Amino acid sequence: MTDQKKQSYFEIKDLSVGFRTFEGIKPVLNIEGLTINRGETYGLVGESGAGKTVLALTILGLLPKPAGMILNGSILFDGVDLLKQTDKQMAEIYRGKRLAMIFQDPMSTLNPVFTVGQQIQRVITRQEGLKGKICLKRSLELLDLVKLPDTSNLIDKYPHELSGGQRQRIIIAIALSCGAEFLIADEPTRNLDVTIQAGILKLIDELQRDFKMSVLFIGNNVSLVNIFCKNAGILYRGKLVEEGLSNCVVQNPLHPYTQTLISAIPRSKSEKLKFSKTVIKPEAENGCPYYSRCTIGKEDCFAHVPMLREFPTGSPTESLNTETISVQKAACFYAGETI
Amino acid sequence: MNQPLVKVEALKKYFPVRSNRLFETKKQWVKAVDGIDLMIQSGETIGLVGESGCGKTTLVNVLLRLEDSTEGSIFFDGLDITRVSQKMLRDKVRKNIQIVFQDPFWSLNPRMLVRNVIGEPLSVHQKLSGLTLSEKVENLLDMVGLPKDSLYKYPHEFSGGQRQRIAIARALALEPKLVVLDEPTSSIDILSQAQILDLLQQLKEKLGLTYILISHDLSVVHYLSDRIIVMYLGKIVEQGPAEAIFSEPVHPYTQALFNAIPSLSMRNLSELRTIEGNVPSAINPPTGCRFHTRCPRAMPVCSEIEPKAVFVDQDHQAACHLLKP
Repeated sequence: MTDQKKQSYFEIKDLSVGFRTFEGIKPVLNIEGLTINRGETYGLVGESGAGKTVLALTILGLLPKPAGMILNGSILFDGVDLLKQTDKQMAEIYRGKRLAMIFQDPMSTLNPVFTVGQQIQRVITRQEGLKGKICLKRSLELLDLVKLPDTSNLIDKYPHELSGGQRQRIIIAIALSCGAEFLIADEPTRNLDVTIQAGILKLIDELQRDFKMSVLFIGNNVSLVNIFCKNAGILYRGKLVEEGLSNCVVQNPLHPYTQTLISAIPRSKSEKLKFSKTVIKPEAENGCPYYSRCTIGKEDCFAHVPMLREFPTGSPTESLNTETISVQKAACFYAGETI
Repeated sequence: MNQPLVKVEALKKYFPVRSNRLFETKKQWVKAVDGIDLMIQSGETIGLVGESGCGKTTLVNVLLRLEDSTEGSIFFDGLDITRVSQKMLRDKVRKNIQIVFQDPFWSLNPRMLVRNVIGEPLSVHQKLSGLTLSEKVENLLDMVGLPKDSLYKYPHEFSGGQRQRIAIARALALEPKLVVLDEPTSSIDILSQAQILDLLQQLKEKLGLTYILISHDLSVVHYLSDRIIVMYLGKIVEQGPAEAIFSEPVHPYTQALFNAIPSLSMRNLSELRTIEGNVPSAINPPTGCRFHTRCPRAMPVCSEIEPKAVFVDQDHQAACHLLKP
């Protein structure tokens, strides 16, 4: 553990984010701690509304203001607290340069009235001050990097002339144009075909290795996160309920919510789907956020909030690197009990 | 074998393309569906699989006669629905074929109450109104597992999964024989997805429905389907029983498609395979086998002669030169 602390490169501490509504401030995110080391991939899984995208926006300082409020906590990136940076600092030093993000929907992320080349060059000009021929050369290189064919032709095309996979590649090229070291990928393969999805994932994986990037991968597909990321965290209503090596989390889920998520994946006809029947239980205002849907919850879950606890994990797979001490954490009083 | 519920023969659907040049006289066509034969037995669930742009949706649109076919015929219950008049279509066909659309956020009219959304087909076809209509809609809501007080709510008051339930209730209002499910769970969460899939399975058993399921999530297809049809560029490349296709796919395209699905048993990314290249344009599809441009096992013959469908097993057929009859 001391080893990990020394090299912690990206760390979220006690972050809580809320949104202003007519009924007062509604908490959206409440993360006690999340660490990503340099060059590592971290996958965040959760349903829609769990707060995945809000976390991404908070890191980049793009939280809609004044509705979104950072109530507490810090996000340390390479020793600097991102939440204490001014908007100008964020725009000039971090966003688009050291931090990059791939947004969810490749169909609507690109501007339809500018050519692909203009959109890439705009970022390069802004961040690196390159102009003219050098800028063009650099953008062609970037298109090569994301393995797009026929780059000199492609650069003059408009987004609508390209397929979903090609557009997503261009977005990746833009995101990486200024040598980002930390990449946030927010469901980068949503709405893409499986064959194209595989290609995009391989591309991100390759680039991550080549540039030694750290990646925060956001997804709602557990199996995708499992094969793509080293570590995985499960987010439920803005709280991390389980965390650990992705292989461990998938094969030996401790939190009842994770167990439900994994058993809800359809496999084949013969295996019946398991999913939480709607349990009619009151919302536990001071207790576990999952209480109202949990099948094993008892009285103490209603009264107290379970904190993330560490669990020893017997290595479930032989392929696991034995040097990494795997710690699986779950926020549940009855973690490990099967539903 | 008794008469199939749906029989499609040599179905073609071409869309004209406007030329870019001013005085171009040669007309071009997008061959979205290019010669498809298939049969659907009553009570089956057919899974329609393929990359986007392979013609799945066009096939279904022609089947529902939202588009007119270019060539070929579709027999539904013995009636050729490609040639019947609009009146006949409304009286005989439409109430027997219904569809659940992909995105429940767009497919429900935001200005209509749930009662009217679900009740519209009933008031059009069965001329129901007033209390009888409300009662019928209440029963339908109950069937799809929604509370009765949803009757006087608007679609925006429901979550994605609940809205999809409303769309299912609407599709089932007229007790159709065939229900087309166009990516029924692609825009909702995994937990709601599990519930919707379970509901669909239950309804099928209870009402004796026949489903055509379009999905690019192959795990969903695997879970629901009895038979699977794999399409590539407007043609069927492989069809057969679901278990056979999932355990031993024979066509290289099907194999490639299945290798691209991430599954829980995979440990790292290298187990995931991609198919090189993009789907070729449907305006000028490749000669011979349409998959030869991307096929890892293409032979010289593949670019010249189009392979015929070969039976590899009873009821399991594929169109590939690698297979010997």
